[in-house]
Amino acid sequence: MTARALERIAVTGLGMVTSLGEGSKRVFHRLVAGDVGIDSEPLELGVTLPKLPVARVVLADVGATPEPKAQTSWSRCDVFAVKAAREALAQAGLFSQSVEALVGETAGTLREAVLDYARGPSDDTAPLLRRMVLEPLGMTSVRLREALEQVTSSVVVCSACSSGALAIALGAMRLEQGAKQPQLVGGTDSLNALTLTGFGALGALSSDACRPFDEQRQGLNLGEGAAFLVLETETMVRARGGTVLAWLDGYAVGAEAHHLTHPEADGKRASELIAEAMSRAGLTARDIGYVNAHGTATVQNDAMETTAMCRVFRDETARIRVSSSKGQLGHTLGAAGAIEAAIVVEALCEQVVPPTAGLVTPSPECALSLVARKGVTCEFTAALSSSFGFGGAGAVLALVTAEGTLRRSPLVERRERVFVTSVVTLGPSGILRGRENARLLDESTQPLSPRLPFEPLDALVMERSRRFDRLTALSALGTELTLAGAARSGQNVGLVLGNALGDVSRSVEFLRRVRARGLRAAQPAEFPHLLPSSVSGNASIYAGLTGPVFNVSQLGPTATESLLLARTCLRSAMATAMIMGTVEVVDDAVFSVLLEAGKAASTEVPPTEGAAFLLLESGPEFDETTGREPRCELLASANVRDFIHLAEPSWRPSGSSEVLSSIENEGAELDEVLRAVGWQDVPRRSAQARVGTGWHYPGFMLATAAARVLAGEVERALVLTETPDGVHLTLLALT
Amino acid sequence: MNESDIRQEIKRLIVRELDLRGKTEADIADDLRLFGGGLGLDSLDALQLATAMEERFGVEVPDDKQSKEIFESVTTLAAFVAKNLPR
Repeated sequence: MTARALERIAVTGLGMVTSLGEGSKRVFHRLVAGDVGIDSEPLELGVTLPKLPVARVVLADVGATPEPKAQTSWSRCDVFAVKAAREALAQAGLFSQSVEALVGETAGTLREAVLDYARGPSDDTAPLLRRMVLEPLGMTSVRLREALEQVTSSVVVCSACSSGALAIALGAMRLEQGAKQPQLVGGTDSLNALTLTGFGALGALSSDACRPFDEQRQGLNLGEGAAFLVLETETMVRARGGTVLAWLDGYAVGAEAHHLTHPEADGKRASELIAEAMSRAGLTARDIGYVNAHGTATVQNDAMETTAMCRVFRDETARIRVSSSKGQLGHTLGAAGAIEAAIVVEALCEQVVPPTAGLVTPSPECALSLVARKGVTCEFTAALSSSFGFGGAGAVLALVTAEGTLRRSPLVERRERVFVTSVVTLGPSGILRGRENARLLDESTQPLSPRLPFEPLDALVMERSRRFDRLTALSALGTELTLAGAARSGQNVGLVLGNALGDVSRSVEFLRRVRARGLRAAQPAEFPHLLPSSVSGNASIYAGLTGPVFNVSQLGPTATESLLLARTCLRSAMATAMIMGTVEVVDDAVFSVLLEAGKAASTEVPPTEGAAFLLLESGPEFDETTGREPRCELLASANVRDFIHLAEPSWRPSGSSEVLSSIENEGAELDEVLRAVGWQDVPRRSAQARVGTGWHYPGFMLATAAARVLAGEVERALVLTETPDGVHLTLLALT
Repeated sequence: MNESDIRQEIKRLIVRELDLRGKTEADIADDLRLFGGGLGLDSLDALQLATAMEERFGVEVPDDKQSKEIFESVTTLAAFVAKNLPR
């Protein structure tokens, strides 16, 4: 166990695209002046919407692709993302330096597909389905890589309205844990018919410009845009002579385990997250000068948030200035947390607190020091940015001026070892718990049924699983069983759930009804389940999880990314245990699209469906090797380029060892690395006979490997997976 | 449509729209409390039901203090619908 002082995390670049224009500084000045980017001009989204105030981005050439070499036209939110990312990187002065990206997003990429469907002459949903499958949420990652060569890895994360802040917190965690590349972190989203009709059906939209914290507030206005921050460690910045704009000294991510759409009225978890972010930064309420609140202007949120803040700030509440930028920029969903973090950095730089447009008379239940119409100059060293989303998923960031000294004593990372303490798979071979998963390597000549041999909904408590589709049911069941496997409650446990597409058919059906029968047919209770985050959100509420909860989206397998991010959260003590899961269900309509587009195996080997879960834990109790029952340690998980540099003697094969791989063409680079660490001749095993093929397969390999170790059947298992960033190696070891 | 038919129709909507798997219309007594104890529905269910009822009957259920009384049971809902059916 090694101890290392955690580095301070610097914000070195900002980029913004909003309804008040492009350019972080320009937007900030307009915010301070009280400009409002919300208007009620008719919004053409194909569906006849009532006159609704929205905050729309006006770009000169938004229809055109920003990249001459791009083959197809881009989704609007991806244009926003690239523009904001470029600005942030330019400000940081990182023009060719490799960076890793994390993007928060909820539904933006389907805007154009839905628009064309709504406007088109035909009811036929096939073209809509096709586009939603081939250009899903994960597309934004792809676009960032296409447009910016310096982006070496890119992942889309979704925790609904807190996605942008989540991405930023994850970037900070990575740097604290030794990531060598600057982190390009933020979020993006665009106005689209799905979220407009969905929030409308929920009655969450105000028919006038929204009024955060006001006694007359009646809901939110949706907006669109993007923002990115560049994060680096202090060492990185000083080494290259960069400029620190502000310090990200603290963060906290967690969930309420309460309800998919309603926050807990007492704001208890929200207050814990606020307190945790401050504590992590070494700040007390006396140090905080400003809070940029989530402040959506719904009756519930603003009251809950006030309660949460009062609980934490107590006597300081009257002094700490609070504002919500949503009265000027609207609620930009996946981008919100990132835009607002950038606003806080600008506020710290300029020592000016932006206002809350729309606020006329503060509600009695919002007794805070609210800044109303125009910004105010103010001396302050530390500020917070809060975001709370559907499913009770919240993220709070604590930022300090560039001149501000670090208030906490340097956090020492204990570098605890990470263990896999529970494994569950649900697939063609049924539900397998723990060591049973070792059987997945057994040979079999039985043909595999594409559909699961059991119905996940049947295994769930009916009252608590209403409106769960199969994807959600599988996720909730897997999560619950994984916790049970380690005899844990969900308290302080988080979930990173990887899924490629979400329930596309369900979203298509929601839209079909609206197109055919008008807005009255938009089902309010359906909409919350259509956001990608609802899968992890519902599973977390079902299982009572209060740690970080979010979805990872990728057009392909998601197990590797989910495992890495789960480990990241665990190592930063965002939870005492993290569940990593990957889940895919088969939908005939979706499969046909993938087959036709050449993205699925042939019909001779139709994909199966399934979910694989691992529980990761670390802590002092795992550090001592006492020769108790076999334990499975997650020794390493790194891409092929890094693996060889990080490799230690214990990473070599030992005793009985095996390799599980899903890689078709291994290539020279991998071969070289395997040789260098002594793994080139280790026998290869496969679980395909019992698992089948599909994007969930790598997750099953991880589960099987862990089970083999837990059963004491092998001492070392190396799992090779393919990611968009190259080959990835994960090493599990018996201790 | 008489009130008895409306009650039956509302029960059908409840089971279908609120995904009450395992329950049938027969399980929902006319005077069963829908929210809180009783059937255990929440405000999201109320919204979903109101939307479905508006589509089915053409009657808009108000989203205010009144609505608590209206949503008390199938009986009260049906009475409200019957009173406000478009001619």
